[in-house]
Amino acid sequence: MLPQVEPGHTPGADSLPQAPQEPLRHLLGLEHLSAEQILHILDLAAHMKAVNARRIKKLPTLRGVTVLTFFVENSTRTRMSFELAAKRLSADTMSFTASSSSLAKGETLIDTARNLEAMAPDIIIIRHSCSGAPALLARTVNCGIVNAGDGSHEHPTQGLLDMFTLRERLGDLRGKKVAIVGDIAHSRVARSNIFGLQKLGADVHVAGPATMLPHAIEQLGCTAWPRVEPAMEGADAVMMLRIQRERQGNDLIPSSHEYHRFFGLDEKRLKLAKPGALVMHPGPMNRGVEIAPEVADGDQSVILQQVENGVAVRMAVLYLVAASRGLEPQG
Amino acid sequence: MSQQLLLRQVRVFDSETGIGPLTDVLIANGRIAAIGAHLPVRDEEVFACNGLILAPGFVDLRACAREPGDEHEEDLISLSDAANAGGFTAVVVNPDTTPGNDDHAVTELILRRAREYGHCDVLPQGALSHRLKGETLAPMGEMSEAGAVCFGDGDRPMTSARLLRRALEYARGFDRPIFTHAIDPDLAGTGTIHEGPWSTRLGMRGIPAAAEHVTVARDIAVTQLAHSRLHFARVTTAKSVDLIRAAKAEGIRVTASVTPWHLTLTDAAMVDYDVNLKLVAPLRTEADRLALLAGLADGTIDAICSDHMPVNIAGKALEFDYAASGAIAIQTTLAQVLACVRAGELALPVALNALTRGPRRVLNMGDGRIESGAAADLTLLDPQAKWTLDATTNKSKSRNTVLWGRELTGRTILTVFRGKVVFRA
Repeated sequence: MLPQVEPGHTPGADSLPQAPQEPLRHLLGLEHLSAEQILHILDLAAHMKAVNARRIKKLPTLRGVTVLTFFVENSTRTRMSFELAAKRLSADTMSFTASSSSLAKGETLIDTARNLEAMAPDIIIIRHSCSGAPALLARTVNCGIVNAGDGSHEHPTQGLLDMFTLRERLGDLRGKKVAIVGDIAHSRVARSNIFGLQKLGADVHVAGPATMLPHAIEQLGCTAWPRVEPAMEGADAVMMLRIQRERQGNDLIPSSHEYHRFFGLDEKRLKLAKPGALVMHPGPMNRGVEIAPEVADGDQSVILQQVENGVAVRMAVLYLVAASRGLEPQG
Repeated sequence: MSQQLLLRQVRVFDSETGIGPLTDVLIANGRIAAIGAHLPVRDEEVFACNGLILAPGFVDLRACAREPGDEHEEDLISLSDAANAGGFTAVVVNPDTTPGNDDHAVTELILRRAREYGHCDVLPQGALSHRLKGETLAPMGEMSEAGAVCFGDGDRPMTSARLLRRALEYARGFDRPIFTHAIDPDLAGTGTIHEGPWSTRLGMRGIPAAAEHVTVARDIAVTQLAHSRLHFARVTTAKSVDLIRAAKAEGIRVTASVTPWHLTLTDAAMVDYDVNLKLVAPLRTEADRLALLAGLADGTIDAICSDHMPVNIAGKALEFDYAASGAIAIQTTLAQVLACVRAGELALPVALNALTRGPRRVLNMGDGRIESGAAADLTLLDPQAKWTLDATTNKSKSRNTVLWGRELTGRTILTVFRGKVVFRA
């Protein structure tokens, strides 16, 4: 753990967990990270979480580093979580949001990114509705790129905060059964968790109506079920995904009501999982659709802890991306 | 008066007999004047060819000229030059220009522009439907008269089987085949790449293989119903190859072509979200690729088309979802196909046949054999030559290809059109 230093005091680099060989130049996804890299981020996040528990929740570590949030798809809470994480490391933050696609604004993503780059940010955090947009940005500009969610591809910091929350409660994830339920086909949260959890040795099961379950998903190493029950059975944790009615053509499920009946998490279905199994949700929830209110608010729910841990995980990620670029420590 | 040329020491490719022994070929007055060992030299220009392969000029069944309407991406002159550099002497151009080629006036404009330049036979595909809307028949008779060689709505899917039937029937009277891009747009939905493990991994919306072959199956049935001729402008799946093979065995008059991309790459290449691999017909799996090669080998697939689609940088410097589809390929098709030959996946005569006689037969243009008296549309190939497609070699106005800047093996050394040297490496 970090020594309980006074605010304003910079922790020495030697007090932090040893960095793995591979520096984190960008965080585009969890697919290409090693287990060691992931564990390193999570260990560092534990230190950051301790900082967040102090009265003055701030480290001077990234003083003089400029972090830009570039959200081309709405998400107030993820952006706030990132901005808070950056501010707690004393970075300067700016935000750029576009209500619609770059095309609709008449300027391309590349042009916008180059304009932003001209203002010399060190790290750009991007959220975009198109899969692969962060990779495009990483090829285009010289800043560190952190993916805050791209299309149906990855949402690596969500995956990391989910794994952080799981490890906090369950310890070592090797052999732990984690069920992910919902629209697997269109979920970037599912992909990041499938990639990340398996690297840490978890047994990942995905479930949902088969319209939301790509045929090839098992080739990613997980087990897929067109019904929710077998995935839940004996699970150590259950992750319910938001049913994103805005993202699909409305042809995947007959109705929210029917979805809730067959795939929603209620108290009865939760009993299939291990006693005390964790209930998770990346938010925002549709109460009464993918999750019953009494389960969302119940004893087994760690949904708000996920949000809390999100800040710590994002602090760790920003710290490591800055460090890989020789931007720390300052002061 | 056209030049007199003597090509010394070539090996002539012929679809029937393969690659022949060393010989000389004399070209005069736009035609092949003589073929024989050690022809006497008079005052003609002599090319020492040192055993390179002389093939009939390649015929491309599918390319976009972008003229009229988008001449900043390509025009009929730059397309002719790029075609010549790729070994082609005839190119079928798509009707989906601005305005579309759905009227004889547009057909005539295209032909006049191409003929004024006179480096390549530009063969217009006339639109099948008025305004390419897929609703009512376009004036195919008048366009045939003006010089359209086939009909189709370019990349637009034929959603109406009834209209396709009528087009097939109507085209019979003008002895023209119908060209289709086989895809069920409803089943393809908003997909951008092949639906499979890669689309799943990359979080990309998929186009299932079935979206192609349900349409291939339907179009075969409609062609049989209409007693007509249909050409699948680009097939990409193993199942499509099977369906076409079975249809041909039944005597249904369908033909097919394949692009060099589908012969050389699979959806695994999408890993970097490279917009230059975003194609109208997506890259499929390794099993599909091998089936396409087998289809070429057994004659199920008749031709290799370049599927040349020039796109300005503004159309490609975008997120994958928003980028325009297509890649330029008319200059690299030969090198791409030769890569399959070097890998032992395709026999050289099969590959050359699919660029020469195969496409000519689809259009009822004869066999294009190199024989005394034939029109001198020729391409001289060096299968071993190394070269790079870059700003110095590129003839297209666009540069949207993953092969940009990469060293390629195999190229055209000399292209002759109606007896005139139109390209020299």
